[in-house]
Amino acid sequence: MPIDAILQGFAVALEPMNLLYMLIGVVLGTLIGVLPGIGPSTGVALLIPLAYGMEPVSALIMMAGVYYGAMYGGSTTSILINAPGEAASVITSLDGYQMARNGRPGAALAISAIGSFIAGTIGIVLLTMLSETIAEQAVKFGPPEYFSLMIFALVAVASLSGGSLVKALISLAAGIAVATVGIELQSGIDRFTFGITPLEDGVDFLVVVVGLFAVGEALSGLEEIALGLRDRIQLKGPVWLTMAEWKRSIGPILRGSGIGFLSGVLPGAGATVASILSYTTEKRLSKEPEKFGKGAIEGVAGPESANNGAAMGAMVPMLTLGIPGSNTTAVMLGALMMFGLQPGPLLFKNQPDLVWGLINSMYLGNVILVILNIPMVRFFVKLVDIPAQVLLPLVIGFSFIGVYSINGSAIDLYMLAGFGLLGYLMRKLDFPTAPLVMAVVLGNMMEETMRQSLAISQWNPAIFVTRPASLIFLLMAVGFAAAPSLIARWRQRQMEKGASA
Amino acid sequence: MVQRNTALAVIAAGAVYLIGALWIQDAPTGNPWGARLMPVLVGAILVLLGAVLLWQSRRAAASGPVWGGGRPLAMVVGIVFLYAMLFEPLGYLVATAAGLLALLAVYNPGRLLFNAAVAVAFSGFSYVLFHTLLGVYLPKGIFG
Repeated sequence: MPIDAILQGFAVALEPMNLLYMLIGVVLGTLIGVLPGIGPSTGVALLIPLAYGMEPVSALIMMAGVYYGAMYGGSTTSILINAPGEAASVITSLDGYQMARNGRPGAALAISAIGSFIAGTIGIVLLTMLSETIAEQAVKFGPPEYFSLMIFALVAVASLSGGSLVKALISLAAGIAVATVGIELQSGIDRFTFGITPLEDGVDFLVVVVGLFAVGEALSGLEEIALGLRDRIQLKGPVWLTMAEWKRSIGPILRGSGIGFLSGVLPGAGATVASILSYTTEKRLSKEPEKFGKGAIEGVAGPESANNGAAMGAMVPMLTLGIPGSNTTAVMLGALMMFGLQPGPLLFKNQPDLVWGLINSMYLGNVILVILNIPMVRFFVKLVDIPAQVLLPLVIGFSFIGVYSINGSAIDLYMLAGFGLLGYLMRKLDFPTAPLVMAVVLGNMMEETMRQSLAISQWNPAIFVTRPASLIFLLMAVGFAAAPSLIARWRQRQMEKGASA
Repeated sequence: MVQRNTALAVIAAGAVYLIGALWIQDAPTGNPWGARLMPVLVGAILVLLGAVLLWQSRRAAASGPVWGGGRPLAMVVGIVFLYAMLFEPLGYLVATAAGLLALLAVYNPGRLLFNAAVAVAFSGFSYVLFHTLLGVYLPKGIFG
C-alpha cells in the first residue's frame, strides 16, 4: 500500500473547502435519496453543471457524498411508505416496511443507518487495501459468467419470496417481458412499442417499482380501510434499537458488508444484486426463515449494509480500470473525463492526491452521514403517525412527481397507474412483486450478456456450462429453484415418520 | 376457481406476448433471431408456467381472496387514470390539487375543508420543493 499517498490523501480530504463539499454532498444525497423518483445517479448527474468551475477533487468528493448519502436516504422511503427510491432499496422494503407496520420503524431506520455506516467503512478499508488485486480478478468475468450470475440472482429472489414458486417464476418472467419493451440496442429493432415514441427507451424501472409498491400499497390500503383491517400504526418499544435487535443485526451487517463490496466490484452487478444475495444468505442462515417478509430485522440489516458496501466496491473498477460498476459511477466516470482525467491504473500513479483524497473523504463522509441521520430517525418516525386515510393519497401524489421527473412523459403516468393496479392484483392473488421488479432491473443486462455469450460461442449454448464459474452459478440457481419443494418433501417425510412412530 | 382463472389469464397473456415476439423483425446483422430470442423464450416460459399453475389449480382451495374495495377502489383507480390524463393539460399545481382532493374524498370522506387544505398545501409545497428548489420539470398547464 502506498502509505505516503494515503496520508497525503487524508490531508486533501481534510482541507476545509473539501470538508464543506463533503457535507453538502452527503446532505444533498440524503435528501435526494428520500425524495421519490430521484435516485443517486440522477442526483450526481444534476451536480455536473455545478462541478464545472470546481477543483476536480472537490467535485468528486461532493459527488461521492451524494452517492452514498442517496444510497442511505433511499432506504427511508422504502421503510416508511413502501416506495423504494432506487433498485437497491427494493429488498429493504420487504422487511423494512413490515417492521414499520409492526410499530418498529425507528429500529428499521436506525439499523439501516448503522448498517450503512459499518458497511461503508468496511468497504473503504477494503477499497484502500485490495482495490488493485480485486480489479484484476473481476475483469476475468466474461458475458457467460455475468449471464449465469443474473440467472442465479433472479431465481434466488423468486425462490425466497415465499409462497408458490410457480407464481414467483411467473412474476419473474413478466418482469423480463417488461424489460424487453423498447428499441433493442444491439440490432436497433423496435420491440413492443406499438408506435409510441416514449416507449422506445423502454419502461423505466422506477415506473414499475413505484407503481407496484407505492400505488399498489395505496390501493390495498384503501381496501383495508374499507374492510376495517387497517389500524393506525402503534409504535412499540423504544424508538431506538433494543439490545436483542442489535445482536440479531451484527452478523447480517458484517456478512452484508463483504457480500456488498464483492458484488460492487463486479461491473454491472452492483448494489441490486448485492442486496439480493445478502437477503438470500440471511434467510438461509436464519433459524426462523418464516419471519422474513414479515418484519425480520436481519432482512433490513443485511441488504442495507450490502448496498452501501457495493457503493464502495463499485469505486474499484471505476478508479482502477475505468469501468463503471453502477449507473452512478458511470456518471462519475463521465465527470472525471470532463476534467480531462483518464480513469484506469495510471490514475493512481499520475493523480495520487485526487484518488486518495476521494477515497479518504469517504471515511469522513460516512461518519458525517451517520451523525446526520441518526437524530433524523426520531423525525422520520413521526411520518408513520399520519393517518393512512391522509398519507396514502399523498403517496400517490409523490409517486406522480417522482415518475414524471424521470422523462417528463405522461405515458409514464399511465403506466404508473397500470402497474399500481397490477401490484394490487398481485397482492390479492399471492404473486410476489419483488421478482418482477428485479427482473425489470436486470433483464436488459441479462439479455445483453446472453447474446454476447452466444455470439462468442457461435450460438452454442454449451458456453454457459463449460465455463466453471458460469456452471457454478447455474447449479446454484437450480439448487435454489429446487430447494423449496425438496425441503417441503423432506419435512413431510419427517412428519409421516413421526406419525408412524 | 380464482387460481384457475388466474392461470388462464397468465396463459392468455403469455400467448399474446409470444405471438408478438414471433413477429419481431429479423436482426439485420448476425443471427436473425438476435432480437427475438429472449422474448420468444420468455413468452414460451410464461405459457408453460401458466399451464403448471392451471394443473396445480385442481388441488387449490375453492375459496379465493376477500375483495373488499368495491366501489371506492374502482373510484380511486378511475381518479388515478384521470389525474394522469389531466397532469399535462391542467398543469401540476391544478391537476395535483384537484386529484388529491378527489382521492382524499374517497379515503377520508366527510372532511371537505381539511381535505382541501391538505390537497392545496401538498401541491404548493411539493411544487416549490421539486420545481423551484431542485429544478425538476413539472408541467405548467393552464399557467404556461
